[in-house]
Amino acid sequence: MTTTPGGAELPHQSASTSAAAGVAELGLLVGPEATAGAGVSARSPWRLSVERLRHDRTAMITGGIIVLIVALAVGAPLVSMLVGHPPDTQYRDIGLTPDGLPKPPNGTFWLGTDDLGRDLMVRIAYGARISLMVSVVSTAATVLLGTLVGIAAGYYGGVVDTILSWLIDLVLSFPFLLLVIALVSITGPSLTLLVGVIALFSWSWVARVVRGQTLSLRRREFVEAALSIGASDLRIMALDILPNVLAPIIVYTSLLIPSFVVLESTLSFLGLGVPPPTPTWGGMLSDSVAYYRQAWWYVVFPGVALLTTTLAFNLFGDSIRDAFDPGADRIRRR
Amino acid sequence: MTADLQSAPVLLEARNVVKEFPIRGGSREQRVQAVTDVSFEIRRGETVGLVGETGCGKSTLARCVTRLHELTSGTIIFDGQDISTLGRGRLRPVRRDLQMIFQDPYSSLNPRRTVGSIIGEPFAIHRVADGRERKRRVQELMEVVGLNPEHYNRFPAAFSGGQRQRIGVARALALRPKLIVCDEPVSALDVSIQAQIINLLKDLQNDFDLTYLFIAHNMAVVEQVSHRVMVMYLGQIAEMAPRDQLYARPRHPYTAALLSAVPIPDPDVSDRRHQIVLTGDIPSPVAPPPGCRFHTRCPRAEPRCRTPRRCSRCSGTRPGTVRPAMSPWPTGSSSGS
Repeated sequence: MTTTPGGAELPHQSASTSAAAGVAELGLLVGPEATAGAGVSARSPWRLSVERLRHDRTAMITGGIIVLIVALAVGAPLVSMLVGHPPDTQYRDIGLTPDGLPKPPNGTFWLGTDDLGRDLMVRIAYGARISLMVSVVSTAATVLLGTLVGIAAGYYGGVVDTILSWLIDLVLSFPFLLLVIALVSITGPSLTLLVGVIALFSWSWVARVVRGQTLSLRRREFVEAALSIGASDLRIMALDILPNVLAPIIVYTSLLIPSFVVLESTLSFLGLGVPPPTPTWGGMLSDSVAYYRQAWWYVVFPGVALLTTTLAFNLFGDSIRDAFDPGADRIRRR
Repeated sequence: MTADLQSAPVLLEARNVVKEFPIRGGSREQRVQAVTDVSFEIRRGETVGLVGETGCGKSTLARCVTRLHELTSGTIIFDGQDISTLGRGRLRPVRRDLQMIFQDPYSSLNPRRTVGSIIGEPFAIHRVADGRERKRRVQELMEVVGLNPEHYNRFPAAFSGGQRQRIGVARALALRPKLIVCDEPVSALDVSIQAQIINLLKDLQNDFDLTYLFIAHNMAVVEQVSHRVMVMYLGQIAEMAPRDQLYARPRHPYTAALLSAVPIPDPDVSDRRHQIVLTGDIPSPVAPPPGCRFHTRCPRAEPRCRTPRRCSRCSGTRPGTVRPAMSPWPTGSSSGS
């Protein structure tokens, strides 16, 4: 019994391969597993996926970029210490031209300044923090909620499914932006509100996918088998259903993160996201629009940061999908 | 059938089991009559074979017996206990003694769980053993069914079909059940592997005092393992008899037709045999023919085949119950245990 790296099994031995294995299959040898080969190590489906990922060059490159971005976000205080400029300090004397315009990249401010004389590089680094934190936390909340609802709906079916599906449809059809504007006008923009609202509207996408997977898994014989040995519903959902929906969940997670980065930036751009003076890429882009002719660096650098992050995550997410869910169709993103 | 099997206690009794599936949608509410008024007994230590074409309701009946389906009506009595309407919680201890082996070795094992975890799950659920003790017992089971216990941490993808079926057998055997319902356990395997698994099941029956309900559509396989055989057609039991009697002198025309369809390797013998070729299609289980459901295709059909009968003196059913409509005329001799 040999296993190819791709995980496919080869039950039919060709004539040239071990005759002993063929004989074993006929049951003439005691212990048909004797020829299984002590050298073959057990490779779990997870190990195989990770190996596929490691051999994907795009994945490794974009993965490296993501690591750098995370390092930048985590090390933002270090960047600030390095150049000696805190992110919110306005250097109106040395950071602005005599006309009050942002200064271009120079020895003091490596990427230039913004319209209030703040160090752009430091703000971009801190902006990475916000973007990543918001997107990761939102993703975690979204995936958690979506998975719970999706599995429950798909597994129980019947009334539970009807109610939960109705809820999913309701959330899906709600006008997101209108609600955000309304909420922000009541409570004012805040970080928590942002994360909450993003998660509140995105879980339904995950729930729909997970529900579909669960519905098809529910009918598989190993679920029947678990029922026949007396497993409880909770046990089946956790040990039998969940590991098999994990692959699309992982893929979805890796694609949600960049979506949320863009979403957060969009909301901040519109003034509905993280309030100033906290640096965020979307906010910087919003403020930079007025100076696009005089201060190209103010537009370009945050924009490049946003673009690179989103692209890296998206490409990495595609690679993850290829590694963990090779036969899957493209997951439709918003 | 050996004398001690005939006098062994009844382990499973099915009485007038009915299972229907409603079809939703459409103008009228219709029901698929998958299992209709099936009654039989299984005694301790015997193997009862259940044969029939695809779609005759064998698998549905198997799932009714193990309560994976809710019965539409009827009674299942297992080891003296009426399990027909028990809830999940009350059924759980029963499941220690009533297990099932599934047909498809490729989908009856969770591909993302290790073999050790799959076989060990009964121990975990019923809190019989933990940790090292559980591992020891799982490896013991693996050896019993002919697997290498060192492959405890492998995943199902690393095993061939026959080996996977052994995993399924080990899982069913874990808690030393009394009755194992085998739902076409060898249908998905190569012929040579089928022999291995059948021999394994027979050995296990001797070693562990098991009782089997063995379901298959291959008459030859059923002949190998069974003490008694039931033939099923379109949800009804057509005939029930000790194995040798059924194969040598089938009483119901459907049984005779099935037997004549079994391939014989020797072409001379095969050519000389009289083959019963059935014409027509199987009627729809939504609107089955009245009385004996086979009468629409039966070469020996008579007008009275259309009417259901009530018999009070045949062995195997209690007085006053509706006798299986399909038992062949005349009703004089016994057709059951």
